[in-house]
Amino acid sequence: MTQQEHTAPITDPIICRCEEIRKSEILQAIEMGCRSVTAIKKYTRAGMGVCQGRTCARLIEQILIASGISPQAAVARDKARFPIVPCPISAFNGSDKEDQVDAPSI
Amino acid sequence: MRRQFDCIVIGGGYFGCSIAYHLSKAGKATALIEQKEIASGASGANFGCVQVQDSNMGMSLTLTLRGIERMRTMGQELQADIGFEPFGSLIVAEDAAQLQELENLYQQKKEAGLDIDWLSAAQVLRAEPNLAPKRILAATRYTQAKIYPFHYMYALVKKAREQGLTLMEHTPAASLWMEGGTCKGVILCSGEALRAEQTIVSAGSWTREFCQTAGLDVPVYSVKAEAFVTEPLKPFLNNFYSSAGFFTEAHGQEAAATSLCIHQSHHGNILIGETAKPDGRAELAYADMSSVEHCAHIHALLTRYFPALEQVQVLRSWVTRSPYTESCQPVFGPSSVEGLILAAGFKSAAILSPVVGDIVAQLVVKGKAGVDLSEFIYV
Repeated sequence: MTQQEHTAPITDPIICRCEEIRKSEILQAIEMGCRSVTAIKKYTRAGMGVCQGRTCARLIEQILIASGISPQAAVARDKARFPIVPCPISAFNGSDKEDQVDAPSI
Repeated sequence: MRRQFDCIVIGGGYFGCSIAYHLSKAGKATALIEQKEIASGASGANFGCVQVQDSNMGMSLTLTLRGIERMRTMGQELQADIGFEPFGSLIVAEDAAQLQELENLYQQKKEAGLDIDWLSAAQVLRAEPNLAPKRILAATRYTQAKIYPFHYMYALVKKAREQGLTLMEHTPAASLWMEGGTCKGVILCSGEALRAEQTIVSAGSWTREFCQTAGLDVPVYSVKAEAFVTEPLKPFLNNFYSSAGFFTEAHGQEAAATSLCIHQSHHGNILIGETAKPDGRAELAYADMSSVEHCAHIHALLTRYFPALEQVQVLRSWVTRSPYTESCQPVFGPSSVEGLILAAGFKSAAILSPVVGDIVAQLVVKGKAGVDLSEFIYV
C-alpha cells in the first residue's frame, strides 16, 4: 500500500465490526424508514454479532443524530437480553448441581 | 384535534404493512397506526419462514398457494431485496401420535396437488445429517421459502408512503371510535380522534383487547413465545426443521410447552424456538423476560435431537406474544360492526400477508372480497 493509500480517508467505514456492516448500509436502513438503534439493528443486523452492539450502538446513535433524528429518540437503547455474555447451551441444563460453567473469554 | 382518512390500519406487522400498502396502492388515503415501531410484535420475532405445508385446508390453502406465488415477485414489485429464497421445510414426527397427524397432513396436501415428500427416518437423517439417529420416526418435506422480515415490512411501508400513506409509529391507539353501533375511526391514547370510513384491525395479539372497545369478543388469543439465537456456525442445517407437535403443542391455554423449531440463517446463526406459555400464566412482571423453563427445555430438546449444538453459544434470547385461534382459522373479513374489518389470528403470517392485503383493498374499494371468506371466523 502506498503512503497515499494508507492515509486516504475511508469513505465507507465499517460500523458493526462483528457483522461487517458498513455506514452506507446504516444510511440505507434510515432511508428505508428505520429511526432507532433497534430498528437499524433489525434491518441491517448491526448489533447482532458476538459483542451484541457494545461497539456499534454508540456509532449508530451518532449516525441517527447526524441524519436528523432527535437525540432523545436516537439514544433509546436496544434492550439488553439474557444471556448478557455468550453462553453455551450446555449451561442451560436446568439441573440443581452447583457446577459453574465458565463463560469463555471473548 | 381530528383528522380524516379513507382508511385506518391498526398494527404495523406483516398484515398491517401489507394492508396499508395495498390500500395506498388502490388510491385510498390511509393511516397506519403502530404502538411502537414497524415489526415490533410477532411479525418481528419469527424466523422468516414462508410456510406452506402446514396450512389449514380449504380457502386457507388456496390463499397460501396464492401467497407464495405473490411472494416470488414481491421484491420486484416493491423494488427492494426482501431476501426471498426458496427453502426446504421439514415437519418431523417424533412419536406415534405425531406420526398419525403427519400422515393426515401428508395425504391432504398430496391430494391437493402439492409436491410434498414423505421421508423415512433414514431419509430425514440424510436430509439433516446433524440430527441424532433413532430419535424421530418420519417427516414431510416441502420446498417453500424464506424472506428477511424487516426488509419486507419496511419496503411495504416505504412504497405505501410514496403512494400517500400516513405512518404513525409510537402511536398507541386507545379505542375504536364508536357512534351508534358504527365504527367511525380510532381514538388515540393522546386523545386525538382519527376519522375513517373503514378501520382495519390487524393488531395480532393486541386485537382482542382493542376490539372490546367496539363491544366485540374476538377469539384471538396469544402465548408467550421464546427463542434463542446462537453464534454463527458453518453449514449445519439444510431446512426449516420443526416438530410436528409445534403448532398444536405450542399454542394452548393449559401448560407451558416446548417443541422444537430450528433454522440456520443465511449468516450461519442457528435460530431456536420455541417455548410457549399461555399468556394468562406468564406473570406480567416477567412477560418480556426469557424463562428458566425455556433454557432447560431447549437444552433437553437439543441434547436429544441435535447434540452437537450443546457446545454452541447462545448470543441472545427474545420473547414475543404469538397470536392464535383455537381452530387455527383466522378472524378475517368485514365484522358485524359497520366500518370495521378484522384481520388477525392467522396460522402463518408472512405467506398470507400479500394476499390478505390485496383482499382488504378489494373489500374497501369494491365492497366485496373477491373470495369466499365464509370459512374464516366472523365476529
